[in-house]
Amino acid sequence: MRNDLPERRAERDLSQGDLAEELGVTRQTVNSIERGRYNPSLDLAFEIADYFDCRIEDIFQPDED
Amino acid sequence: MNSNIATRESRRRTAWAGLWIVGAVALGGLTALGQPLAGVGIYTLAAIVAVGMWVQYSGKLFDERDATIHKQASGYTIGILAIVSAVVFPLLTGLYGLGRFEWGTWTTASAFLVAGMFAIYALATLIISHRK
Repeated sequence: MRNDLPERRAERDLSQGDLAEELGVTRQTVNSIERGRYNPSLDLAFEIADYFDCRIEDIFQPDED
Repeated sequence: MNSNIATRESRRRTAWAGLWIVGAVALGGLTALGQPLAGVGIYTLAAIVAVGMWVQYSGKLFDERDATIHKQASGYTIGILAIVSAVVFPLLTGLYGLGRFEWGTWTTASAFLVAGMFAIYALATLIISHRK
Protein backbone atom coordinates (compact mmCIF):
# COMPACT_ATOMS: atom_id res chain seq x y z
CA MET A 1 0.00 0.00 0.00
CA ARG A 2 1.41 3.37 -1.04
CA ASN A 3 0.71 6.54 0.89
CA ASP A 4 1.58 10.21 0.95
CA LEU A 5 1.80 10.47 4.70
CA PRO A 6 5.37 11.92 4.72
CA GLU A 7 4.26 14.77 2.44
CA ARG A 8 1.14 15.50 4.47
CA ARG A 9 3.18 15.40 7.65
CA ALA A 10 5.78 17.74 6.18
CA GLU A 11 3.04 20.20 5.12
CA ARG A 12 2.05 20.50 8.76
CA ASP A 13 5.65 20.48 9.98
CA LEU A 14 5.07 17.40 12.10
CA SER A 15 7.65 14.82 13.06
CA GLN A 16 6.77 11.13 13.11
CA GLY A 17 6.74 11.36 16.89
CA ASP A 18 4.35 14.30 16.84
CA LEU A 19 1.95 12.52 14.51
CA ALA A 20 2.21 9.33 16.56
CA GLU A 21 1.29 11.25 19.67
CA GLU A 22 -1.69 12.82 17.90
CA LEU A 23 -2.90 9.44 16.68
CA GLY A 24 -2.17 7.57 19.90
CA VAL A 25 0.26 5.11 18.33
CA THR A 26 4.01 4.61 18.54
CA ARG A 27 6.48 6.47 16.36
CA GLN A 28 7.60 3.13 14.94
CA THR A 29 4.09 2.53 13.66
CA VAL A 30 4.02 5.85 11.82
CA ASN A 31 7.47 5.07 10.42
CA SER A 32 6.39 1.60 9.25
CA ILE A 33 3.22 2.94 7.62
CA GLU A 34 5.16 5.61 5.75
CA ARG A 35 7.65 3.04 4.49
CA GLY A 36 4.82 0.77 3.34
CA ARG A 37 5.89 -1.98 5.70
CA TYR A 38 2.76 -1.95 7.78
CA ASN A 39 -0.84 -1.46 6.69
CA PRO A 40 -2.83 0.26 9.43
CA SER A 41 -6.09 -1.16 10.69
CA LEU A 42 -9.28 0.38 9.31
CA ASP A 43 -9.77 2.17 12.62
CA LEU A 44 -6.33 3.76 12.45
CA ALA A 45 -6.71 4.56 8.73
CA PHE A 46 -9.95 6.40 9.53
CA GLU A 47 -8.20 8.22 12.35
CA ILE A 48 -5.37 9.28 10.04
CA ALA A 49 -7.81 10.45 7.38
CA ASP A 50 -9.81 12.29 9.99
CA TYR A 51 -6.69 13.98 11.31
CA PHE A 52 -5.71 15.20 7.84
CA ASP A 53 -9.32 16.03 7.06
CA CYS A 54 -9.58 13.87 3.97
CA ARG A 55 -10.72 10.42 2.86
CA ILE A 56 -8.70 7.25 3.43
CA GLU A 57 -8.21 6.76 -0.32
CA ASP A 58 -6.73 10.27 -0.59
CA ILE A 59 -3.85 9.08 1.59
CA PHE A 60 -3.62 5.38 0.85
CA GLN A 61 -3.52 3.86 -2.61
CA PRO A 62 -3.17 0.17 -3.43
CA ASP A 63 0.07 -0.95 -5.06
CA GLU A 64 -0.18 -1.25 -8.81
CA ASP A 65 1.49 -4.67 -9.11
CA MET B 1 10.45 17.82 20.99
CA ASN B 2 10.47 15.73 17.83
CA SER B 3 13.48 13.54 18.51
CA ASN B 4 12.69 13.53 22.23
CA ILE B 5 9.49 11.57 21.64
CA ALA B 6 11.30 9.09 19.42
CA THR B 7 14.21 8.66 21.83
CA ARG B 8 11.96 8.35 24.87
CA GLU B 9 9.76 5.76 23.19
CA SER B 10 12.70 3.82 21.80
CA ARG B 11 14.49 3.77 25.17
CA ARG B 12 11.40 2.64 27.02
CA ARG B 13 10.67 -0.13 24.53
CA THR B 14 14.27 -1.35 24.76
CA ALA B 15 14.16 -1.13 28.55
CA TRP B 16 10.86 -3.07 28.61
CA ALA B 17 12.31 -5.93 26.56
CA GLY B 18 15.63 -5.80 28.43
CA LEU B 19 14.00 -6.02 31.85
CA TRP B 20 11.94 -9.08 30.91
CA ILE B 21 15.00 -10.77 29.39
CA VAL B 22 17.15 -10.02 32.46
CA GLY B 23 14.37 -11.27 34.74
CA ALA B 24 13.85 -14.48 32.79
CA VAL B 25 17.58 -15.21 32.48
CA ALA B 26 18.07 -14.52 36.19
CA LEU B 27 15.17 -16.81 37.08
CA GLY B 28 16.42 -19.68 34.93
CA GLY B 29 20.13 -19.13 35.49
CA LEU B 30 20.10 -18.65 39.24
CA THR B 31 17.69 -21.56 39.70
CA ALA B 32 20.09 -23.76 37.73
CA LEU B 33 22.91 -22.49 39.96
CA GLY B 34 20.99 -23.45 43.07
CA GLN B 35 19.82 -19.94 43.99
CA PRO B 36 16.10 -20.10 43.18
CA LEU B 37 15.03 -17.38 45.65
CA ALA B 38 17.56 -14.92 44.26
CA GLY B 39 16.24 -15.76 40.78
CA VAL B 40 12.64 -15.16 41.81
CA GLY B 41 13.65 -11.94 43.56
CA ILE B 42 15.41 -10.49 40.51
CA TYR B 43 12.61 -11.65 38.21
CA THR B 44 9.96 -10.03 40.42
CA LEU B 45 11.93 -6.81 40.69
CA ALA B 46 12.46 -6.65 36.91
CA ALA B 47 8.76 -7.34 36.32
CA ILE B 48 7.67 -4.63 38.78
CA VAL B 49 10.03 -2.06 37.22
CA ALA B 50 8.89 -3.00 33.67
CA VAL B 51 5.18 -2.80 34.46
CA GLY B 52 5.67 0.38 36.50
CA MET B 53 7.55 1.98 33.63
CA TRP B 54 4.80 1.01 31.18
CA VAL B 55 2.01 2.31 33.41
CA GLN B 56 3.83 5.55 34.15
CA TYR B 57 4.74 6.30 30.49
CA SER B 58 2.58 9.12 29.16
CA GLY B 59 2.78 8.12 25.49
CA LYS B 60 1.98 4.86 23.76
CA LEU B 61 4.60 2.15 24.25
CA PHE B 62 2.77 -0.56 22.32
CA ASP B 63 -0.02 -0.37 19.76
CA GLU B 64 -1.81 -2.27 17.01
CA ARG B 65 1.41 -2.84 15.05
CA ASP B 66 2.91 -4.66 18.04
CA ALA B 67 -0.28 -6.71 18.35
CA THR B 68 -0.02 -7.64 14.66
CA ILE B 69 3.64 -8.60 15.06
CA HIS B 70 2.84 -10.79 18.06
CA LYS B 71 -0.08 -12.44 16.27
CA GLN B 72 2.18 -13.31 13.36
CA ALA B 73 5.00 -14.51 15.61
CA SER B 74 2.53 -16.62 17.63
CA GLY B 75 1.22 -18.12 14.40
CA TYR B 76 4.73 -19.13 13.31
CA THR B 77 5.56 -20.49 16.75
CA ILE B 78 2.47 -22.64 17.05
CA GLY B 79 2.86 -23.77 13.43
CA ILE B 80 6.45 -24.91 13.99
CA LEU B 81 5.49 -26.56 17.27
CA ALA B 82 2.58 -28.34 15.57
CA ILE B 83 4.80 -29.70 12.80
CA VAL B 84 7.50 -30.83 15.22
CA SER B 85 4.96 -32.39 17.61
CA ALA B 86 3.19 -34.19 14.78
CA VAL B 87 6.44 -36.02 14.04
CA VAL B 88 8.22 -36.28 17.39
CA PHE B 89 5.49 -37.55 19.72
CA PRO B 90 4.10 -40.27 17.43
CA LEU B 91 7.71 -41.34 16.76
CA LEU B 92 8.48 -41.56 20.49
CA THR B 93 5.21 -43.43 21.08
CA GLY B 94 6.10 -45.86 18.30
CA LEU B 95 9.56 -46.42 19.78
CA TYR B 96 7.95 -46.90 23.20
CA GLY B 97 5.67 -49.54 21.68
CA LEU B 98 8.71 -51.30 20.28
CA GLY B 99 10.40 -51.17 23.67
CA ARG B 100 13.16 -48.87 22.44
CA PHE B 101 12.14 -45.77 24.37
CA GLU B 102 11.04 -45.05 27.92
CA TRP B 103 8.92 -42.04 28.78
CA GLY B 104 10.92 -40.11 31.37
CA THR B 105 9.89 -37.17 33.54
CA TRP B 106 10.88 -34.51 31.05
CA THR B 107 9.50 -36.14 27.90
CA THR B 108 6.21 -36.93 29.67
CA ALA B 109 5.95 -33.39 31.00
CA SER B 110 6.72 -31.98 27.54
CA ALA B 111 4.07 -34.19 25.94
CA PHE B 112 1.43 -33.09 28.44
CA LEU B 113 2.47 -29.45 28.10
CA VAL B 114 2.20 -29.56 24.31
CA ALA B 115 -1.11 -31.44 24.47
CA GLY B 116 -2.46 -28.92 26.98
CA MET B 117 -1.30 -26.02 24.86
CA PHE B 118 -3.03 -27.34 21.76
CA ALA B 119 -6.18 -28.01 23.78
CA ILE B 120 -6.17 -24.35 24.81
CA TYR B 121 -5.48 -23.35 21.21
CA ALA B 122 -8.37 -25.46 19.92
CA LEU B 123 -10.69 -24.02 22.55
CA ALA B 124 -9.61 -20.46 21.77
CA THR B 125 -10.09 -21.06 18.04
CA LEU B 126 -13.58 -22.42 18.69
CA ILE B 127 -14.58 -19.46 20.86
CA ILE B 128 -13.11 -16.84 18.50
CA SER B 129 -14.62 -18.41 15.36
CA HIS B 130 -17.98 -18.60 17.12
CA ARG B 131 -17.81 -14.85 17.81
CA LYS B 132 -16.83 -13.82 14.28
